[in-house]
Amino acid sequence: MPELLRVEDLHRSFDGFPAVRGASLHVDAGQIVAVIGPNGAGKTTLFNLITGVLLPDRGRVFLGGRDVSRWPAHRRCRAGLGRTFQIANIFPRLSVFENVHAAALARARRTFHLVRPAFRFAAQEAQEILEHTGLADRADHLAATLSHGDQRVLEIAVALASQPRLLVLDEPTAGMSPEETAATLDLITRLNRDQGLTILFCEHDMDVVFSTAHSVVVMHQGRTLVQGSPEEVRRHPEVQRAYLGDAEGGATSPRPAATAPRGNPLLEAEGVHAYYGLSHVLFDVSLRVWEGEVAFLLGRNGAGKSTTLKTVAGLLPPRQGRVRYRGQELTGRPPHVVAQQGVGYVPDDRRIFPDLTVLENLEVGMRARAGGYWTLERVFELFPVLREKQHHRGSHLSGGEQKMLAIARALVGNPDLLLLDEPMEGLAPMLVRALEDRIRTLKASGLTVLLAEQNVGAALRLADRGYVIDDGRIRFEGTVEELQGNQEVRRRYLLL
Amino acid sequence: MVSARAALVLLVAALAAAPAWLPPFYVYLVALCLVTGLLAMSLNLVLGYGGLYQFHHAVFYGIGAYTAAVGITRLDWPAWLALLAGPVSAAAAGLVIGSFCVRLSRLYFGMLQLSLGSFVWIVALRWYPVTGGDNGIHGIPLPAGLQTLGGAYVFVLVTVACSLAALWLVVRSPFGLTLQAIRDNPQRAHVMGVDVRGHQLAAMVLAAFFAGVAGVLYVVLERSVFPNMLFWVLSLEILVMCLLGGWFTFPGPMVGAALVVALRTLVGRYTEYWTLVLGLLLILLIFFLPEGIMGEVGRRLRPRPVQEPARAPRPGGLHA
Amino acid sequence: MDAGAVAGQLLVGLSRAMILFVVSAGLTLVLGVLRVPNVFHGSLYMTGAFVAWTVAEAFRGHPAGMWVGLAVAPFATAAVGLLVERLLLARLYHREHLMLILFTFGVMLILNDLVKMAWGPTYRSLVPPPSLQGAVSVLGVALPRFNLVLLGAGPLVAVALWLFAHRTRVGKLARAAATDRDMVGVLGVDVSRVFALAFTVGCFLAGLGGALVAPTTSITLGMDHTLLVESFLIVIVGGLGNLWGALAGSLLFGLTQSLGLLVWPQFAIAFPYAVTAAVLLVRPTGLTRSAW
Repeated sequence: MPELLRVEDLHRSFDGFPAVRGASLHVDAGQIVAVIGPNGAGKTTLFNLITGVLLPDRGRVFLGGRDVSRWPAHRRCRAGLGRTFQIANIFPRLSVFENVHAAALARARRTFHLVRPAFRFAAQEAQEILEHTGLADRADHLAATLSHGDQRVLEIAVALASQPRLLVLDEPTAGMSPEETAATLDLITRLNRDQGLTILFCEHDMDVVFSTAHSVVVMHQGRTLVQGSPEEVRRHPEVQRAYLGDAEGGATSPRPAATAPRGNPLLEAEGVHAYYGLSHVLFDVSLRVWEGEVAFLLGRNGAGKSTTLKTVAGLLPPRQGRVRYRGQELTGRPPHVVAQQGVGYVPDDRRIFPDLTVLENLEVGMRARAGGYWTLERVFELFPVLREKQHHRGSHLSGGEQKMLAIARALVGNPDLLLLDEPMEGLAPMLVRALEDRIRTLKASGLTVLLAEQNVGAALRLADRGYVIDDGRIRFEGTVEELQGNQEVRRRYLLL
Repeated sequence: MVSARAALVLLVAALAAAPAWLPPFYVYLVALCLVTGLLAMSLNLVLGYGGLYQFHHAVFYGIGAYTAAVGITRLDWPAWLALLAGPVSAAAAGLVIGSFCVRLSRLYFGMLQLSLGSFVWIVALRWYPVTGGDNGIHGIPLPAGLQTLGGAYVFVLVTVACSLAALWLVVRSPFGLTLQAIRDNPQRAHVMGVDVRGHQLAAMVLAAFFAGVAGVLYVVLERSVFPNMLFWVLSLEILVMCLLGGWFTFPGPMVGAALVVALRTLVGRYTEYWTLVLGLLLILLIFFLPEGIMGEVGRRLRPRPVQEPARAPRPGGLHA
Repeated sequence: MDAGAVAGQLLVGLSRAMILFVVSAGLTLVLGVLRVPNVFHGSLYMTGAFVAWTVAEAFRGHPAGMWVGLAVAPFATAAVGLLVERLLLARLYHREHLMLILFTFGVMLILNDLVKMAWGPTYRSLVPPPSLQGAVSVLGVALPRFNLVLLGAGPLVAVALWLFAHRTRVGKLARAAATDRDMVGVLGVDVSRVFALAFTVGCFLAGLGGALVAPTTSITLGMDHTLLVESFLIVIVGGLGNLWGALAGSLLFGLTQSLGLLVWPQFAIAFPYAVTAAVLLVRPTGLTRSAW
């Protein structure tokens, strides 16, 4: 089969941070190719480079044999490259039909026509696409009123209206219910089979990837590791190492026996349902964390880990269910109240104040509850590099240093419970080890930690007990030993 | 649909017959509503349909009016030619100002426009020999047919009707649909292969043209021009009219303009504090009727509730 | 033209720039932290001038009157700002930008009529105390004595604001909230109080600017209209939310206008607008790094 897309050794940095550093892949006409990789692996950046939303620092993109590396997005679109985005990217105030119609008009290059009504052009085409994607019965609904799943399908319909040769989908099933996911997969398979459409997509949901794709590309820390058939990829040793860490080894290393939790939990979430706009992301999530323990919240990318932590921190009030801390109701309280109660939060994307110095970042953090164990002096002991750079602006720190600053900033507020969202993500292995040591130190100091991770190895080395989350639902609760003994849970929800 | 069309025909018939059954002052008032309404609707082409922060639309209204006035009184152009030149020069100004502004986004777009517009305002204010400075130009001689209120009224009505028909065609055309798509999601439209800035610029030129038409009609009605016609306060006032009527609807701005003009006349009889009333009205609208009158009507007529599009965390924008 | 005239105009332009700076610093603070372009900022400036006049009048010509007026006016406008923010604006932060702008426009309409009710449409003038009347010779140029106050006030405000932003806790919180308000909340800070304070300080500066300008001009309705557009443009040209940008923009505005008077007096006030437009064409997001 002829090659439709070839990507050669792409690189792209943001403010010195290399988001993509060496990505290569190829897509043959008629294939479905999937890109998988953890959060922050650079998948979305790679897709933006392929579609021309971003231009690469170096490396090339060939579309149908032509070098399109420096082409802007709209030119690549006209050359047959259609795409969807990770967050529903539609025209909210237009009807479903108008969404697709606008794209069809752009394809037909009729957008500057001023006099005759729009429906005289390309309307048939738009109608056919709606029928194909199953949206025809909602043609006159406002796009903003569609369910999240339908909005994602509409995005695909809009992309189809450009009559692409290659359709690029960024996490097409993210945030969908299982039923919606199945329907979308079916649509992708049908488009490929019936219309011969070539599809490149990235996904966090591994079941989706292996059941749908002909070829799988694995991405890790900005690099593509390997491309091959699903079976080849599943067995590839480098992939196993990158994803599973040394989870098996973790069991043999000496670690304190987990103490059985007793008494009242420090944190208790009960039946929590949460939404981003119209999309339902947490379903009946319940979890408990006892004082002094490190509890893991394991799950794949997009499983709902960050959302769970945000819900506890007060950033995303649950629509149903309750969150209690030391027996007190926290449901729906604003973030600053939650923080003052003693809950610290370290977001996965760091969220350092870029214009403030390291010291000033810490001073903001000290507002929550000053006068506890954690002083500036003590966090500087924990992270000596921060002392050295205390007068540097936050934006001038490296990714790893920003991670440390984010943790330190939460610590100086003297929380009793620390919500840690993927502290190891995107860090070099040496830093991961160092950070693990720090977290052990924190635990020894009596701090309670809820650790959201997708790196199974690291989480199991650090934690006592915890939860596995997938598709916004808690799938497992138990100790580290129980999880290590449960092949089924690990295969279904955590493995590649 | 049929009843809506019938209502429209009735409305036009009533308006056409207005001079026959209304006292002259009210005929004048209706004409003023129509002119202001056209101005607001031309703004809404870029604001409601285009999603652009057009902060200084009155400039094009003023340029249209001043071109006609200066053409007739200072350059001795034939009156009809001068009236025609108004919208054309407004469109040209739209092209110039627009081609600078569309390179910028949102607030910067609006601010640059405010800057360039204020420059034009100062020229009108200070260039005494041509513009009459802060006095403006008064007693502009008009062609024979337009000298009576009745003649002026018919001219205003016909021109506004033709302009609205043209705007309606534009809104329903592929261009109009594309413009709305750009408003909702410029990045997406761009990736689809749409020339975003080109469409925005074209929309600005069209809007400026119809603002110029409104400006010329003002000259026909009032026979005078003055610098406040292109002052930024008027620009914000027509923004309020669009909001009041409903800026995501076609007739909304006309309704808003008519209400504001009528209210100003009514309130003006009882108090000199009209802007206080307008300010209160505006704040009430923002809190209780953000979709405007016609938007609310449309929402009630629609079988399903129109929900706000899912909100991104921050920073806010028209749809961000 | 001779060097003396240029130097004289430079000093006049500098004085004008200081007024513009005081006002636009307040505007840029509000824009940077709250992201609200405050259209009634100009009304507060006018209110400040009227309040200063009223207070000074109450002293019946006593030289201290002007100084007391200068001290009271900013607090009066700060109080107005705080009231509006707490009662209304705080409920609108999640809304579209355009709605926030229109809301502040509504407040402007109301405030301006309230000023009209309170002080009427007549012109007022505030006479500075005798020690500040007349002219003083600076570098061989005759400069109104009161302008020395302006030339001192600008740098003073700049330093005070810098100290506020970098040396006080709440100033640091305000800078943090400007880039990531949610994260500031997560760290245990009630962001809405930071917002209220930043807004109040912004309104304080508007009133201060009005009080400072009062002795140099006639105080009247409509004095806010051009000033508002000017300070908006200064803020944009300088870079939204950047204090030094506001200073640079003010100097640009004040100096081009006063030097324009030497070149083409009739259109001198158009010069700054043309320069602003030119700057924005070259650097679309302003002279300095914007806080956004």
